[in-house]
Amino acid sequence: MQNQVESLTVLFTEFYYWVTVVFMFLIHVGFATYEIAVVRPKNMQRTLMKTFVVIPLVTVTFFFFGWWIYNAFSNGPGITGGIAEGAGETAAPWSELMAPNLEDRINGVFWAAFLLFSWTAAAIVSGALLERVRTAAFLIIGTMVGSVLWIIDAAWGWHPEGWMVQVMGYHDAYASGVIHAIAGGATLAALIVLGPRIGKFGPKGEVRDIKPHNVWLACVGLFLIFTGFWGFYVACNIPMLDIGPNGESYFSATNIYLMPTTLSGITFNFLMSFSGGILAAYLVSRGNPFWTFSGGLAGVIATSAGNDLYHPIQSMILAAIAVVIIYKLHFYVERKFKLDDVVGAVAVHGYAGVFGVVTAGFMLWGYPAAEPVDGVSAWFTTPDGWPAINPLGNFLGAIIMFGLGFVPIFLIAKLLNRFGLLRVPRAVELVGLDVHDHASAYPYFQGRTDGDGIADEERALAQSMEGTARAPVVPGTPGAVAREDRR
Amino acid sequence: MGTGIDSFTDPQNVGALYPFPGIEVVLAVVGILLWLGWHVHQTRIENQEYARAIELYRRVGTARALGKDGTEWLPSEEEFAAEAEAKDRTGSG
Repeated sequence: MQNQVESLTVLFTEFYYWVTVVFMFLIHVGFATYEIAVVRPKNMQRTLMKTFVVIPLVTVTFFFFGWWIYNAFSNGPGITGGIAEGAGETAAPWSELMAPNLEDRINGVFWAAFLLFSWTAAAIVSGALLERVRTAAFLIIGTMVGSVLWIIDAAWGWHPEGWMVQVMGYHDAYASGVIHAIAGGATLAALIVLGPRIGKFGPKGEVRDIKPHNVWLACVGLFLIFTGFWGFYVACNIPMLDIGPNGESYFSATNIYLMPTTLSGITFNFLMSFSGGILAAYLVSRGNPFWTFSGGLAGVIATSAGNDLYHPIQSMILAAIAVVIIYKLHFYVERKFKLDDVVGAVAVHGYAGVFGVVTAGFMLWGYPAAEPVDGVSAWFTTPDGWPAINPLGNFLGAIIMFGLGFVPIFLIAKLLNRFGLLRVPRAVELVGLDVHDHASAYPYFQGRTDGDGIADEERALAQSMEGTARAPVVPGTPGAVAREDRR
Repeated sequence: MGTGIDSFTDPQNVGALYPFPGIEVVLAVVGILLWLGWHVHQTRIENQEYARAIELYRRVGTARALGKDGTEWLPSEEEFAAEAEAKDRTGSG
């Protein structure tokens, strides 16, 4: 690097992405935490291994071919438009730039930021399949989603020169569709072939609630995911770029399409959509902790496509509407189609992601999607001749995203199932995935002991309320006690 | 004797920093083979694990293996095996 300004820009950008990677690790601490919490103790250790080992598998495969796919497949339509120029020099696993090299300081951190998105895509699929999927099957499905499928759609619709952006005007700034809808589609496909857990549905098809073994830990896991989501959001931006017209300098942060936004703006919108989602989820779930936390996540996902440009209150309202819809849809699909999605991943990621992409098409109608590439004609253009965001492009884009996850994973799951490699044997599922090869997850856990005085008093009080469910007035209770509502 | 770089006095003209430059393709091929081999080996281990579990449950009874509620209490494999052996002895006696 020859001068100080260039050096500062490059070294700042290098450090910026590096920090996002560290933050995004928290997403996976969160995934591990909440997945372990929602399963029964007999399945905890296998669940942890499944969730954890997919991380290195997606990492090595993203090195071998995932990053190259992103750099190679932006031409269109589909993957038939030829390999993009320079993909091999930048991203082939034998490229000199895929290693420590003084001639390049960005490739590694940019690769890592995308890799952490890939981990997320794979991890989204994981939660829905808990307690009955074979580890080997999930690792294959997770690797396909994380290192092949999502990165194809990222090349198409999350790249300034991607054909969906240039032709359709597709806009999805923080990956409502590019990661969440595709992972939701893949999850739905895998669920259809895999089937529900033993006991999830009764003999008459009634839905049974298999409870998390530790609700609060599940919520802590979701809180960690929110924390890591900050890294995810800022990693979707370019922190410093000269976007001035005709040689005039104008430095700004941009979204992934190199269109201007601000870190300040996305901070507004992240927090307001998060809040709108939580508040709506609390009401619609009547204060269910798991769904209230998940509602925050769904709210952010349902507005991520346009959170680079929305007003914060628009973001909050859209998040709230989306959460009500996805919550109702989750339970409708569960009842109607007998799908056992352990963590509601199809709803929180798939339905919310599709909602986010479709609504962004309407909300941002006419905004520039990206700078045009010579020789490419967009369906709709701005007065400057740039591809324009529009409802049709984003609606079709949402279908492409969801379908690109659904169709290949349905076929892969069918193939695995044909060889008996998708689901654990029924006896193993019944007894528990951990039982035969691991010691108990809680070797010293002896169950409840009710020997303390408080529990005895509580039991006595409950007995005194038999038939009324009203607390009797107990004379001599120390301190002030508020009146009980007797309506 | 050296494996790559022997001077950093002119960093402008230094590119790749790793030793043995020029073997990147070989490294990539080896890495991909290791990855594929890992999947095969992991699947084999998991299949063996389930086969062993099924055999054990066949001998001791799945209901017995399920334990208390199938959740809180995880029986030990040694305990099962000892019980099955005792049952075999009783049966043969």
